[in-house]
Amino acid sequence: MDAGTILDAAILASVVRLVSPILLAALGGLLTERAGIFNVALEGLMLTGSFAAVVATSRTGDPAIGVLVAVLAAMAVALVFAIVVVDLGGDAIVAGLAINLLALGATTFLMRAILGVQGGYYDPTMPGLAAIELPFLAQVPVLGPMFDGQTILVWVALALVGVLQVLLFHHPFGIRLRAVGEDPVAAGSVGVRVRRVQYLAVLGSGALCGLAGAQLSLGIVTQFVEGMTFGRGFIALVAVMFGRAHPLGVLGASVLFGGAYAVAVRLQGQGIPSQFVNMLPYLATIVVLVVVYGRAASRRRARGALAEGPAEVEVAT
Amino acid sequence: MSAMVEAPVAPGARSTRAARLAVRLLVPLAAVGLGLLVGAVAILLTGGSPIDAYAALIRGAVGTPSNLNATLARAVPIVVVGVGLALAFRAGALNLGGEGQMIVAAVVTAVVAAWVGDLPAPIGILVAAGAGCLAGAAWALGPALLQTRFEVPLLITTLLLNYVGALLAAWLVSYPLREVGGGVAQTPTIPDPTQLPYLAPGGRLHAGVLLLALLPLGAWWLLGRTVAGYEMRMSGLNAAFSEYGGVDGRRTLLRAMLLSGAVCGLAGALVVLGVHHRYIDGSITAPGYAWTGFTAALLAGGEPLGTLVAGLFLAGLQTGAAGMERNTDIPFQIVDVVQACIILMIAIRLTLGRWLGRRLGLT
Repeated sequence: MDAGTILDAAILASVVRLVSPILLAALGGLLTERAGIFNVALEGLMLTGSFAAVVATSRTGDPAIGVLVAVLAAMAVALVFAIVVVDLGGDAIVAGLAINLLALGATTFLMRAILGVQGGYYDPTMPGLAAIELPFLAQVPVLGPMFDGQTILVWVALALVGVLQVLLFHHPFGIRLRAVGEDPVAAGSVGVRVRRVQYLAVLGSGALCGLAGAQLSLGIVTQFVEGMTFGRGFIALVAVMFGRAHPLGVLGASVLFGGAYAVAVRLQGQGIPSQFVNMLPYLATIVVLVVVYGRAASRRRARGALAEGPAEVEVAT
Repeated sequence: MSAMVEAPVAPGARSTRAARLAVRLLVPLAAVGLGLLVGAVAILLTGGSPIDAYAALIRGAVGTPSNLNATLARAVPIVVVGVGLALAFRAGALNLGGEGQMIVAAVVTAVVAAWVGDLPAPIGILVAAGAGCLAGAAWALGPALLQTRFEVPLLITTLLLNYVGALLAAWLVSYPLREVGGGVAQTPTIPDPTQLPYLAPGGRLHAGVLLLALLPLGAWWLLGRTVAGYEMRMSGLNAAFSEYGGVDGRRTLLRAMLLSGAVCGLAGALVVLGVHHRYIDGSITAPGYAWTGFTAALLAGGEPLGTLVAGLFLAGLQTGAAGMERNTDIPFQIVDVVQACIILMIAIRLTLGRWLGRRLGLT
């Protein structure tokens, strides 16, 4: 199999589609990361969004309401996380893992209590998010197949990259947010309301994870499956780290990891068992972690050698 | 430590000790109480009666000898994986890969058990379980090395490897290791001599239940009575300080993770050797053994004997919930919600315990 068969037009569309939930969740993680909160809860917030989107859509028949409810539900769960971590000073990692288990347990419980099914919910009459056709764009060689026929949430995700770029670096809130993340005590001493900023960041990450979940359960597929996020939240968390909590960096990292999902889907089409190729995104993420931290560690070691080592080392560099 | 207990103490000191113990017990109990309260609210919201539900739950957990046996059997993998995770936690390594380590070990155990079916009974079981331990340790080794060599956060790599392990196992039992002619993704049944014998009629309480007593004691002895355990605890309390005191932090972390992975692997092996007598796809993930063990270890603050108590309680909650579902139509997944709330309370406890301690002048 040569590269050409993997990298054709269809896979470009698939990359964009599969990148979008990772990107949305990672942008949410970016907000909390910038506020100095390590957000392991992305996974659970996203799962909440996926579930709420499907329940609301199946009840109302309107995916727009589904997206709205997904955002609100994920924000409600994020509020619990914020209360525990920001107000009660709870351990963010333990609380985040609790939120993930809460989302997994509650969605499974509610799926049985509300929808009366177990394992997954699929209703062929339930509409998903509409594909947006762009006749003028469809003619353009590469961009056409990539962006023609994507859902509104793909466009929202891309727009949010720009919005967050402006918010973070050209808006007073972004400056406060970054100050809180850098040093909450110092930020507080110059009058920044630290807790309020952190609350907003966590709620914002909830809203974005809600969108991510909705894109997963109403955009990529049109169903809910128990635990359907399957680690995407953790991959998004790594995308935040790899992208250095910078909107464009996070976009790049998300494209990389989403691309791994798209390659996995394609290889599946070539007859390789899905379980096998689906390992790809996780392995790619681990490799990226090694590269990021390995480089940082060797840089630290080099700096250590400079500090402690003999003078000629310094001359040599 | 024991010398300190024997030594004559001022009456005030003794009451301080009692108060400290009370604070340590109070907080996990409060966490459990609040978790059950949230569960009661959820039951009310779905139109059930919390009192009836919890009564049915208790009956389901310990009401009959058969239910009690089921609870004890359920507790085996939970307590074992809980102790495994606790060992890592005490050394300051946040091993969140218990699930992956259990899964990989379970598959390896099923394969090795099939090979050693001709060996006399206890030897075959020991070899298969040992292979499971090695597999669990191997699955933990990668993240440990990445942490010590490149400082890649162990908590993320272990988490990600859970998914890799689950997918790898799913592939193995769907294709190369699949039982011929079976409709389900599972390995063939392991030979009779490698199946753990039952200790009670009814076919639930297998010999692995003896580990409920042995393993927490062993871990308690290791942590409290050996140099290696002391180094693990010191490294966990304050890595820089213990390094200054001559403890090799990297070696300690590596050792703790290998041990933790091996014990988590043992938990996976026990599910195969004692419960299903084969590896069935999803048989580790679906009952949530690893995360329940995680909850137990957290509730106990990483104390092995406390992990046993917490693990027995959580196992009772789960088997009881199955009974509750049969009698009251409340989905048993309600206990997953209760358990998540307990962890949430523990997250707060980390601060609350300190606050209470300060308030009472204990720290």
